[in-house]
Amino acid sequence: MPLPSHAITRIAGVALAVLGLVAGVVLQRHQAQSTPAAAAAVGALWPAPDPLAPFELTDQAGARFGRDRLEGRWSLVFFGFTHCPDVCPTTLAALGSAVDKLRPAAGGDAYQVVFVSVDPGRDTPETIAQYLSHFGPGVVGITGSDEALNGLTRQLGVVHMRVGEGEDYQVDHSAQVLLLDPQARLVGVLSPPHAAAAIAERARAIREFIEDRS
Amino acid sequence: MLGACLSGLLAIGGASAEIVASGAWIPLPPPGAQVLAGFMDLANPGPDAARLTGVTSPIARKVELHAMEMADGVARMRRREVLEIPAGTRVPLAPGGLHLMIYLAAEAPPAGTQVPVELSFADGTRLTVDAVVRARDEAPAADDPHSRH
Repeated sequence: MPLPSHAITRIAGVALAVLGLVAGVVLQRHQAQSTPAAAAAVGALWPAPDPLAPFELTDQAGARFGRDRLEGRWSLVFFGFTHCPDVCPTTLAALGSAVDKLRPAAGGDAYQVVFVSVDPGRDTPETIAQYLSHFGPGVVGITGSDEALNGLTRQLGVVHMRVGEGEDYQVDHSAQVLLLDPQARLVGVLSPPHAAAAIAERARAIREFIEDRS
Repeated sequence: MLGACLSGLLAIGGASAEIVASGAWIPLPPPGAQVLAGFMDLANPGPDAARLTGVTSPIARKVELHAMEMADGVARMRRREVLEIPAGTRVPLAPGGLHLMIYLAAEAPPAGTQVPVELSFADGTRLTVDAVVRARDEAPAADDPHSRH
């Protein structure tokens, strides 16, 4: 091997942080074989990128939602919009259920689900509040102006673009679930399709993997 | 569940296209949703290909056929003008793939509602299907499509 494997891991991690999200981040084999946690930590980003830079969005209650709201707990973050009849409600239901599975072992406030609407033209905080009431407590819904949204999405490598004319436009959006640690660092990328059991299992495995190395 | 499945087996077809629609359902949407998805299986046991060209429903200001495409982790919904159902095949409209995009004319119908959906085919055949509104969790494969249990 021309480079030591830890260097390859580091280069891979930095490239991801710079280039944005790439599904299926590969763990180095020697790490994957070293512990059971690592073997299951598919999608883990290691070494973790720096904490997110500050951003400012608004939650469904109209309160400011910045980086501090990601600190001190683990966050499962998903980007979507309410005029999305299939992928978004399916994913939100799976995330709510995944967090239910994770909470008993981790404690009530250890995880939050964050739904980021990338359709501020139609999704107001009120719309989002009504929509999210379907998915149980503990799901935070946030949005903001295009510029404010870009303040978060660009540093996470998340893509969103409006497609089509008139009132019935679509919004193409990254469909990964992002796992952020309590320091607001992006530590995991979970690829679709999303199912509750798999999300919970992978989030738990990535968390063990990260905590083992912190 | 059984009743819901059987209720989708209403084939009021003409003599030409022999499409059988089954298992039609609409996921109960979150409150305030203005669009619904619609799912069903379309089987064509006949000798000729069928072309689905239009869909209407009394609850909708319009219904389109959309394909969800996942490219490099980006979800994209695109309208399909025509859906071809080749002879002897079955085309599923299912979560994560093809679906009816139902633009609601008014409030979403509650769980348990049988929503009439009329399918129009290129040869003039029409088929009315009752799609039942039910919670997503009850849908097979909606929660865990890759279940190994």
